[in-house]
Amino acid sequence: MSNSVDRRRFLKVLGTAGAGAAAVSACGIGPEPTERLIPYLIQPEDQIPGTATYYATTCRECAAGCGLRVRVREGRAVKLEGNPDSPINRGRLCARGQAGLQGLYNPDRVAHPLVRNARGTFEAIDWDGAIQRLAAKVRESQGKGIVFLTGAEQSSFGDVVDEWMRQVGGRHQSYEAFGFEALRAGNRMAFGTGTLPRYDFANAKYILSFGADFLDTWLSPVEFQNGFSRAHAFDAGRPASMSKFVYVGPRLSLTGMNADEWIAARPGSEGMLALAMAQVILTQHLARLPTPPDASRLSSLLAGYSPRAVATATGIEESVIVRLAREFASSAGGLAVAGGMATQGPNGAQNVAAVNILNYTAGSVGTLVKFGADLALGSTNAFGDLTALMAEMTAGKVALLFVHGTNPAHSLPGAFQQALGKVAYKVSFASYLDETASACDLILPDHHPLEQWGDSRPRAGVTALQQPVVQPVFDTRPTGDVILKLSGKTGTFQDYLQAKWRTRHAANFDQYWMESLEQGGIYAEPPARPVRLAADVSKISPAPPATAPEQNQDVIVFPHANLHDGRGANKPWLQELPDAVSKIAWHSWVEVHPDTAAKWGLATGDFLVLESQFGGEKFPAWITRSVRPDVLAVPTGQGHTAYGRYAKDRSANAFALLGAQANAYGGRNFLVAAQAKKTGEHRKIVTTEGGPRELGLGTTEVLPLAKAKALHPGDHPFHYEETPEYAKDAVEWWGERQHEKAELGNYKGEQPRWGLAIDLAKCTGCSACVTACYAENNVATVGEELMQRGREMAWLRLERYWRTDESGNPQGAVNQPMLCQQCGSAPCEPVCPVYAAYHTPDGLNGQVYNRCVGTRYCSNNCPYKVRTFNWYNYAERDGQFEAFPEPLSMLLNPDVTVREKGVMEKCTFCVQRIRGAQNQARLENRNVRDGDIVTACQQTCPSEAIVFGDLNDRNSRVFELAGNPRGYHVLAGLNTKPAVTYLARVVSHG
Amino acid sequence: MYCHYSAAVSSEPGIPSLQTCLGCHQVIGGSTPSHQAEIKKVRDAWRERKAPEWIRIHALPGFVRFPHMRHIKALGTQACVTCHGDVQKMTQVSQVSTLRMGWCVRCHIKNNVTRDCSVCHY
Amino acid sequence: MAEPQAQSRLTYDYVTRTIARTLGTPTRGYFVLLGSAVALLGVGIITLLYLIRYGLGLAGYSHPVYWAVFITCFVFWVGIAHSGTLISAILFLFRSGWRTAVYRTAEAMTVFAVMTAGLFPLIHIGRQWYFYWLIPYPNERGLWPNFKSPLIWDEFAIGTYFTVSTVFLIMGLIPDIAAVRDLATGWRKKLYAITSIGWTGANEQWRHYTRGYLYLAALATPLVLSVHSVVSWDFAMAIVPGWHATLFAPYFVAGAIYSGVGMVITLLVPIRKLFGLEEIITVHHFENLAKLCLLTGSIVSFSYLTENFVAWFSGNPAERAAFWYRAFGPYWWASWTMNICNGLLPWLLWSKKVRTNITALFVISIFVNIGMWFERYVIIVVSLAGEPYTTWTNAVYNPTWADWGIMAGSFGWFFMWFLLFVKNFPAVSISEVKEVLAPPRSKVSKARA
Repeated sequence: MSNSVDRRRFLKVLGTAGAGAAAVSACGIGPEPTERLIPYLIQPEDQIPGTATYYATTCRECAAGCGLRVRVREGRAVKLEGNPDSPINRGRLCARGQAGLQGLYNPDRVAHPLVRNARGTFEAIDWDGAIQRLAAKVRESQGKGIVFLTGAEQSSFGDVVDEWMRQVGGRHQSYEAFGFEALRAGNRMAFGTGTLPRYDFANAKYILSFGADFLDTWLSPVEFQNGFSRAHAFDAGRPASMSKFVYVGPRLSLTGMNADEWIAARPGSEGMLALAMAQVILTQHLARLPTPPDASRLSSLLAGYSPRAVATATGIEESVIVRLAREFASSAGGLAVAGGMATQGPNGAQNVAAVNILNYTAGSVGTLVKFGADLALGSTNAFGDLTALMAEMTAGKVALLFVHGTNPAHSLPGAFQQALGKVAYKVSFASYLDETASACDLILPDHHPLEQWGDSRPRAGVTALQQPVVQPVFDTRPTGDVILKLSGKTGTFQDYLQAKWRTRHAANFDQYWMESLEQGGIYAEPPARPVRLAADVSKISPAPPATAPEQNQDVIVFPHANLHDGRGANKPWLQELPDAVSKIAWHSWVEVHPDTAAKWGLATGDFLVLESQFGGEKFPAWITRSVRPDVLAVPTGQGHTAYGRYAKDRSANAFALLGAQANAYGGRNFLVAAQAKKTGEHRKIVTTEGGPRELGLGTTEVLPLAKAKALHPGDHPFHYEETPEYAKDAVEWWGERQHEKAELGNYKGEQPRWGLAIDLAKCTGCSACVTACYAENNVATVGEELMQRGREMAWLRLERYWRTDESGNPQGAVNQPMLCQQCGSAPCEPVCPVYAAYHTPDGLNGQVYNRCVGTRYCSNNCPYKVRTFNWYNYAERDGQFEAFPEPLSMLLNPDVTVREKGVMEKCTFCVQRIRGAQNQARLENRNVRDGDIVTACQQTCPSEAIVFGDLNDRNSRVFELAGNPRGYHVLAGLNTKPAVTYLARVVSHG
Repeated sequence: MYCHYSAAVSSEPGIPSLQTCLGCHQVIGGSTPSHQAEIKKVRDAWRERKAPEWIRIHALPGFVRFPHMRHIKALGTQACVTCHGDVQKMTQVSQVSTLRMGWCVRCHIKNNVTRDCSVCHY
Repeated sequence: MAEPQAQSRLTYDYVTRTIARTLGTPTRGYFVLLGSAVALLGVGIITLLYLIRYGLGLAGYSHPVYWAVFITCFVFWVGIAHSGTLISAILFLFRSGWRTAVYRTAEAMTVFAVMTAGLFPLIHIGRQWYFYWLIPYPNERGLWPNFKSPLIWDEFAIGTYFTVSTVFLIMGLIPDIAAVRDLATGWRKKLYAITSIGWTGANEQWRHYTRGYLYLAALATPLVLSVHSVVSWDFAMAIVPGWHATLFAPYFVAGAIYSGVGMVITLLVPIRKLFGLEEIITVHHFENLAKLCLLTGSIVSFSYLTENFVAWFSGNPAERAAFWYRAFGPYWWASWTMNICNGLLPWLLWSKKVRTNITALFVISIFVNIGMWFERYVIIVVSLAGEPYTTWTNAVYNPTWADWGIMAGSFGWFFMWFLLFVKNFPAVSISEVKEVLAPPRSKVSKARA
């Protein structure tokens, strides 16, 4: 620990040698006191103080294996960005990826090896001592009952573990709280292969999701979201049109609310629906008829599934089913995917198989569903294997258990803990004291992925490299090294890794290695493997489970979009990021339909205690029409009993409701029957959602596909877009005056006017931009208490407006990122008494933090309410509301001031990036080119909905988009002349 | 520029690593005893592999950005001297200009360059 | 006018003595009052120290309610300050004799109210230690405040008002101080000797004095209108629905005088009792004040009607939403307190019975103060909380101990000064009361003696 502290001070000083001063010193009024500057002994190459270095590596926050470019300043990782070379995320990143940084600099990391002492508490131990103990234990157990439990590991590290386990006669098995057993089993049923295919969303003409939340938690969210937006966005680029997206599921998830149409089928009945559609396609010859053997198999299978037959079971009208089938087939490019609730019930595998059949009959298998590129998740062990392991543990058959990168004690509260108690010796390699680790006897903290070498194979053909981008923050060691040492091998894991890669490409390896490092891995498209229909498809029978008996409720437990299975809960960025659908932060909730709520006399915030046969927990109710009336839905992620200050004792653990038994296909049932009782308690839920009023002031605009297609350049379809006659002169005059002012203190040449274009037809509301903004601009997290009082500091918020049908039921949502509009005639500027808010020559609403005295008049006068105020000093060391406790403070961006208490702050289009680009351009004797400047939100947006640029540059992309007939300005009626142009959402009605 | 290697390309001038110092002072021992004494310190430091602590003379107030490279590019060879004084001739470096905002602004007015707040404050 | 009813004992001599008596040695009651005032002030100071150390977060603010109790109090106190100048200056120019008995109190109140109001802009800003950045002064950075900002206008309006009303108060005091000087003994005699700047009552002096007083009155008169107009522009210049109205200037001025007169009554009633000034400050005076109340109160209630009418008539959805929210939103209780206290209550004053019943007036005046405080609360807090442009911001505003602490402090500060004043200077103008009395005729007075 101690040495890391020195190092931190040392880096701090380096930072202090200039701009960093502001960033590091909390309330730096006036000059810094005389400091002492400690130089390097030897100049580190590839590092220029004051300028960032980027390293390519791989994100390990989930198994998708997105490529990263890490921004490093003076030896500190200050920002994660997507690696453009990676075919998986194409330079984009999700909120969870962005927050990886807070994993690296998490204040609750295990700083050094720990061992459980006689008193049962942990005490520090040195590495050699720890490793010796471990070696001894391994020897004792004499190859009996050794198990190494990891997360999804398709990587060289996994291989090391395998080899070691083979050597010591143990076994390596993996566990993911949300496995995809159903997909594998289902594929086996339909095609006889247990692998996971790739889904080509980008080229789909019609997307039909049976509960698969491919935008937030399903397989590879960033990749799919990027593809999805290409297919689903209304883009003037290609012949203006869009693929329709229909979502089938009991509740609207982040993915669901992006649908054009929501089919709220009964949970578990998705498979029947799929087969019924297939039946329609087959009988009505809507697609190319399958070849003889298949034809007969299919017809025999589908005979029983006429739309009429399944109408009652699914709760979907016959006509709707037929219509869907027609649309799906006629699109000639229909892609159906199954996941989420459809695949987490007792009949999950059947449902997947059924959906496969649908794809097959529509002829999408092979074109949009590509087998051959098996995803890593396909090879993780099933939940059944874990339950088996638990049985062994309870039976005392496991003498020595290693746990790495997974936390079953949280996803199986009680059950796994008990089993754990029966294990003689438990060793954890966790970086944080999570539930599992704190039940272990010995903890050998692993490096954070950003601190160590490694690779991962997210799917066949893609091997992503992982290199250390910063010095270790704490006294930790790569588990790879430890294992190699234990197995008596020489060399570090890095050597092992290189050796492994050498086998792949021996000829001039060094160059190959360097290239791979630069582009973050090697990427190849695997050949698609054709699949045939399995012989026994007729066995598929996706009969839905019986609904919960009276006085019981069907309860759905779904993965939280930000916290996932709970691993995100120790990162304040993810805790403070409101859930995309409920907009609730810092605690979990239970979704209740208004009708049900009325029946029980329930109000939002009232606590419901849910008692399943396996356990009970209580959650505050969130009353919403985005869930079926006969279903309650609860997110996972919260309710940790350990796992650091941000996660511990927060709200309730939804996993407690679930059973610890594997089902038919070795998966886990996330649909349980539970009793729901009012406790009488109430809490104010922490939500950023405001009143329901929409005043038709043109905040969000939606166009039906037909209308959007009919638009011509120069059209102004939206109310308030045209300046009224009587106002024209005044407006012109004001514009003139503004421009004159802008001439003062001019840069050389023509003034730019920075602007942003946000395409609501692309935006999915995933909120990656929000976290990216937090990361780039040192925005403080304020915690549950203050957020409840509406004091969150987010510069960029995502407003979610439901699109409802006649009966007021949501069909989806329009998500609108709301940030400072950088108005041309800004209400905030004239009212500031000290010119802290003022108009910059390049058209920004500048905010000079160190001039602000905090009258807050600007915010009162801002119609968009995008300014936030520092009510406390969030950077104060050990302050009550400290947002950056060491070493979290190391991820502060030295190019951005850390604001003091009493100061107003807001989005300035990442002005530090603008200035950086301008400085660079000047050095190269040129002007800033379009695309030089990329704001943090734009950089990370997985659906590429945000474009930044110069509105005065006739050739810039943003200028083109601002002229798009779909474009409009929020509250244009106030004549604020925003620099942010929103492009109206387009909805396809079939 | 040899010592403050990054001044011309980065906003930060960069603190010369001890290695850099030795680059010259390996051979240059200094003429006067006082000089020799000072240089000896550096050499000893190198021998003991222990970086010396420089005392900071020029510290800007908080919350202000000063991109060195822009100024060096604009002012050319005289750039350093304009703000730091003729350090070469100083036996002991001392601060010659206030480094306060008024001082910055006056120079910006004189050279008729931007006076936009958000160029230095963000 | 006070003289028609030829009072028996109300002679020059009597007036001087009665009023001088108010300066006599303080009773315990007085010290209790003063003590509690100082205690309140202490609370305020401690709260302020907390705010400076930990930040404004201690107060109840929450996005988007960025102005709340502090600004409410600011406007409230500025409002109080108004009747003073109105009574002393404008009524003086109109030569309405009844003012003489009450204007000194009103004037003192004005000065202290402005002193109180002036503190709030400094307290409510986020970085109180940089308050001086709001003041234009030449500096090395060549930075000036933004003269476009209504807050700067405010600064000047309040500043001017404070200066003029203070000078006006002191000026009026001179002859009286001289009068009490002649009666006083000990250190007070010295004090008055100095503060009466050598007043002998010589003809010459009187001529200059009355001229000067007249000029000052003329100078102060426009301020009565200007100050609160400027304050109202803090809101009217913003685009917040419920603020952005051309009606605001007259509306605020009327409201200010209304509240001011209310406060004058609240203060006069106890003073009159404590110092036994019944015969000098008569029911007749109170009735006139009540009439003033009635007039301004009616203007205020008319403004309320206009506001709501315009909101509806404009057809602007934002305006409509804002006023709907005001009346029926979560803060309905505040709005209706204001409507009842300021809109309906004044109508009681139509009846002479009420106007001439001191107790009734006292009670009403209290409600006037409450009502006017809530008016500002509604305008500021409720308009912000319910701002309908974006529906996506939470408004859960509840004042905290910090808000109340500062508010209590402001009352303490105000009453401390006021109590000190009435004990040390004539709270009723001796010279001017005499002006409206029959000059002593030697015979008569002899006969009485």
